[in-house]
Amino acid sequence: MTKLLATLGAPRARAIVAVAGVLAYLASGFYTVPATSLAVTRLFGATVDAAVPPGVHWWWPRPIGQVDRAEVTRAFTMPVGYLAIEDARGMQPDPSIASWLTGDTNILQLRAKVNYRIADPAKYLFGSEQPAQVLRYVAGSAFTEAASSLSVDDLLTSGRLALLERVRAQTQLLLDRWDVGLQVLAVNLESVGPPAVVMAAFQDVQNARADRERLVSEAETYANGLVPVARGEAERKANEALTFQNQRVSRAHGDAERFAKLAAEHRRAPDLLERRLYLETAERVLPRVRRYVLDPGGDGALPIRIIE
Amino acid sequence: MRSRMLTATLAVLVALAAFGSAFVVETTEYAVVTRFGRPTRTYTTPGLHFRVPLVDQIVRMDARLLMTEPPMAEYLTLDKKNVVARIFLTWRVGDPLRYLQTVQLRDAAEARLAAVTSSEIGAAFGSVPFETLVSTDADKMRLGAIVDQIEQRVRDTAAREYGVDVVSLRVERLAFPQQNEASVYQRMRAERQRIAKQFRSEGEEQALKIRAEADRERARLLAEADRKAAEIRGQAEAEAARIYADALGADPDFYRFVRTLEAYDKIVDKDTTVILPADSPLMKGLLGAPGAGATR
Repeated sequence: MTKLLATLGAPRARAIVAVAGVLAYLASGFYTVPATSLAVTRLFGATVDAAVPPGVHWWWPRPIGQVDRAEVTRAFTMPVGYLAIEDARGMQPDPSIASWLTGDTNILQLRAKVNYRIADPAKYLFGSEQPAQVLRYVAGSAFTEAASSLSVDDLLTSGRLALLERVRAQTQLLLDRWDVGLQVLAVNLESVGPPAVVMAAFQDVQNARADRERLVSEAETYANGLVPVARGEAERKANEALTFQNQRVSRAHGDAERFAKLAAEHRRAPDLLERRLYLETAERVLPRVRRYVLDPGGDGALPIRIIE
Repeated sequence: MRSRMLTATLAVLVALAAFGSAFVVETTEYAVVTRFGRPTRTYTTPGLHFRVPLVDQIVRMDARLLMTEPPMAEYLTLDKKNVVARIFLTWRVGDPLRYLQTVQLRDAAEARLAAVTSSEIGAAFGSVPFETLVSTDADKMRLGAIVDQIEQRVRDTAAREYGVDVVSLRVERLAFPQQNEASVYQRMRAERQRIAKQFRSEGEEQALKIRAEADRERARLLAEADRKAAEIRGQAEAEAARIYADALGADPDFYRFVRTLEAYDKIVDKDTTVILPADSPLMKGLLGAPGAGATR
């Protein structure tokens, strides 16, 4: 019995160990894919499934098979025009990284962020050595091509949006052409401006622009104050003239009516009226007079003073 | 027992041989199998392969897209302007055998690529004026075409000489050499000053124009108003005259009499000396006998 056990037991134990070993090897093939990722399975180096969805799966363990994961839902950021490390330490970026040459041979400093995601896990994982660095350099070259054909004023003002779109499109085009497996989500310009040494001159242009607006708006204020007042003045003059016209014509009518009445009376008794009018006038006029003189004969020899 | 030992040893040797002869070519690499140093087989697709252990050596090389940035260098354009360019190349091994025979190592490949690139850029930049590289004038600007041409020449050389497949060559950055920067900044400053001055004089010019226009408009409005007022006054006078004429024309002599009396009333004031003849109708009434008065 012990002999039997010894003869049967030893191989059986070896078999159990062998089977356990194989089972343990196979069991190590279970793997999970997080909800944010896709996995790529390979068998003897060749890609078998390029998009294993999240969950628990099994695949041949090494050295037969391999599993790699890529975070496809996450948006990554790549700085252009500065280095994340330098920036975090508050260091001034190297001019050879921060500065671009514009089409009118000005120097501009530009900072941008490229947001991207992994679009194709297999291409991302196996297609290129440093996918993110390729993206960074491609974006940099797209900025260079765009900047060297645009004027500094375009880049500082109206040309920005077009620039970003151009960089985005160009970057995506090359990434696709080279099978890098990345998708550009957005190119965001953080800042674009002249280097510190010429900043003051650029700011003075802004001030000058504001000065121009101010001068014009002051002149407009002056004009807006002046013309309506003149219009009012014109209106007043017209009204005055019309008032004068009314008065003049009314007086004429009044005078005419009065005279007509007087004339009618005159026709009835001319002498009487004339005498009355004459005397009334004399009454009114003579008391005002300083002195008056009687000329008895008309020869003027003996003036007689009556009143001093 | 001895035979069992023998079989066990054999089994281990076979397993070792199998293990030593099998090799995997990954999707990220190419492999060349050499026998005593001479290449015999090339694998460019991934998979499981076998070799004779100890005799066959495996040389692996990266199959992925690689990036190389040659050091930034200064170039001279046709019109003797210095420009610094940062270039980057993306490339992969195109012909593993040739690559193995000519450069072998990646560092060597990158050094050769940098040298070829540098000389091609020097030649290309040296044959064009600066404004074809950097210009706002779309007719002159040919940076894209020039870089494409350099890329093509480097690609041809690299493929022919080193078995390297240049995927792209691009200019990552253009800059002025550091010793030129001060003068560039000086020029930028002067340009800004000119623009600022222009803005300010434009503002003054526009303001003057607006003010002058307003002044002119005011003068025009007032002159127009004066003209209209004069016209209205003239019409008023004309109408009044007509009314007077109509009314007074009926009895002109009487009017003359009445008007003369009115005129006396106005002419005579307190400093006036009046000489009255004693025989005037007024005085006759006072001095003469009653009833002696006469008209006029």
